Amino acid sequence: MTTVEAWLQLWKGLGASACPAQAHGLGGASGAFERFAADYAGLAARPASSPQDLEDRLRELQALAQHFYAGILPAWPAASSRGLAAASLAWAGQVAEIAQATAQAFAARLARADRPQTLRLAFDAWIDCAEAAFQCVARKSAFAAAQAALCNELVRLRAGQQGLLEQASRLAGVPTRGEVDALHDSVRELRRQLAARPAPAPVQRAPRRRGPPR
Amino acid sequence: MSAPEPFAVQREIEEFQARAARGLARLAQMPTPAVATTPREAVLVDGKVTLYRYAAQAKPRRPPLLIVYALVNRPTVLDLQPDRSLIRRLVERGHEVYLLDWGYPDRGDRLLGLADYVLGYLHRAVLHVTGGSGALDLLGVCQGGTLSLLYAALEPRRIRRLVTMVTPVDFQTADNMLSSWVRGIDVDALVAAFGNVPGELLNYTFLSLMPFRLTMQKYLAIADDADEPDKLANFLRMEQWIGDSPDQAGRAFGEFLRWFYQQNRLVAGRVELEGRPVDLARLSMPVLNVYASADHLVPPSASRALAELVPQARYDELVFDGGHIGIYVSSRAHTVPAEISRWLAGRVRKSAGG
Repeated sequence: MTTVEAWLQLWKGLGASACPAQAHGLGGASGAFERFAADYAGLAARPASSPQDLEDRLRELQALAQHFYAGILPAWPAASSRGLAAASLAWAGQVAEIAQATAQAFAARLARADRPQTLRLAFDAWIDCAEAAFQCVARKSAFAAAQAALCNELVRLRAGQQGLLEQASRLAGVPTRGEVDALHDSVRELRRQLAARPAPAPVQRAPRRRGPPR
Repeated sequence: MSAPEPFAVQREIEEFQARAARGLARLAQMPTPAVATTPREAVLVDGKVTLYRYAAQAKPRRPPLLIVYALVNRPTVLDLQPDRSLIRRLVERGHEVYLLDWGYPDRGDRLLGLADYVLGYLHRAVLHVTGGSGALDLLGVCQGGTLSLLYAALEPRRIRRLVTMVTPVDFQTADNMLSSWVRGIDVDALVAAFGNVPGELLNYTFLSLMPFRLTMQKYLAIADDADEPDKLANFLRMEQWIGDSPDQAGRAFGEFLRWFYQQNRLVAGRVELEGRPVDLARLSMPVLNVYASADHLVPPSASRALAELVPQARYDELVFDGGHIGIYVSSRAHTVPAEISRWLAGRVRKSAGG
């Protein structure tokens, strides 16, 4: 199999096996994979016959790639990042609340007669204000909800990325995490079975017969 | 009062920069600080888990004391440096100490559950220390205290006395910020995505409980202590410990978050390991509950809840005036092993380090 054929198969496979992509809301991306695979197959089937021809093919390939990314990029962020964008926005709101409370407290601190007289003392005072503001906001349920939502969205995005990488790895013949995990599981199960086996009974040696005296 | 005079500000900045540069240069030249220097020997290697024995350095007391540390972070904090070492102070007082070191789980360990840790590794360590019969004293630290409670409830005849140290029991008290954060996390998705949960992720979470002090203010120590090599070495030692954070076996981590942080099962009496129900009310051995009054990770309320859950046990509390890590490494930390030792010998005071 040539490199071109291998890549062709890879792209076709990515387009054909869209399940993980769809599971993570990236169904639109799989359509782009399929189109790219078909177009690339047509391009690869026509070998270049002259330097000019080769230049034309490269231009076509470039256009193909641009088309591919134009197809995949809107599908990917729209599907996977809608929740992430909302969660990031909610999180940013919490951060802004902390920043605002910090600024107000620090301004009040600087307005006091005993305000800090060195930069270091001012920095420490700012830390005190920021930490107090953070502790106040971070104990509210809205903060916990925003942080959990952001975490869950990031985990979801990571799982989606990993699913796509696993597909690519599988088609390129690289062992996937799932396969390595399955191997680990087999070793673990074998170890468990081995540990559960009763210890072998000690070997009884037959009494040694004395031979006739020489 | 007036604003600082501009030249004074400039001078302060220049002096600070000079000190910071000196401190950084010193740090760069320092060798990696030695930790866990109390003499010990590995007496049992069980997969990635190691059981260490520290010989008593005074007239030996019986029975041996087994320390169970958390799965999170490393037990080196219990023996960080010779003058700040819980373990060293205990062996100096005649305790034969054993330490269960959980090691560093890798992907092959991601299916290890809490039952594997408690009824597997911990149980085998207890059998090794006791020779299969008799009882030992058990000291569980932080999450290791929770695991120790589970074990003591399931194997009560193997534990003579139980000490829990900064141990979460009620995971949903109102002042537990970490708990309120964790409750909305999709634990299954997290574990499925990562397999084992990265130690760095946990470190980030712990630092984010006090983000300004722990990620900004703390590092001014490099300038403040630039001309004090001992303090810089202490700083480096602590940073080294903080960064030495093992990944967490996925299944056990997921179970711990779900069962305890999200469902508060220990308080509700709904924990089961391999089908065996954990009933803390059946604990009848003496229990010493040590907690820190300014603990931001395990608030005192989370630890003190144990008092209500062990009605049959002789229950004592020891309050340390400090934080979750200060209880091991602060200048007052030496009072804690002294009080634990006194309690194990049958005497106790109610506060330490205050």
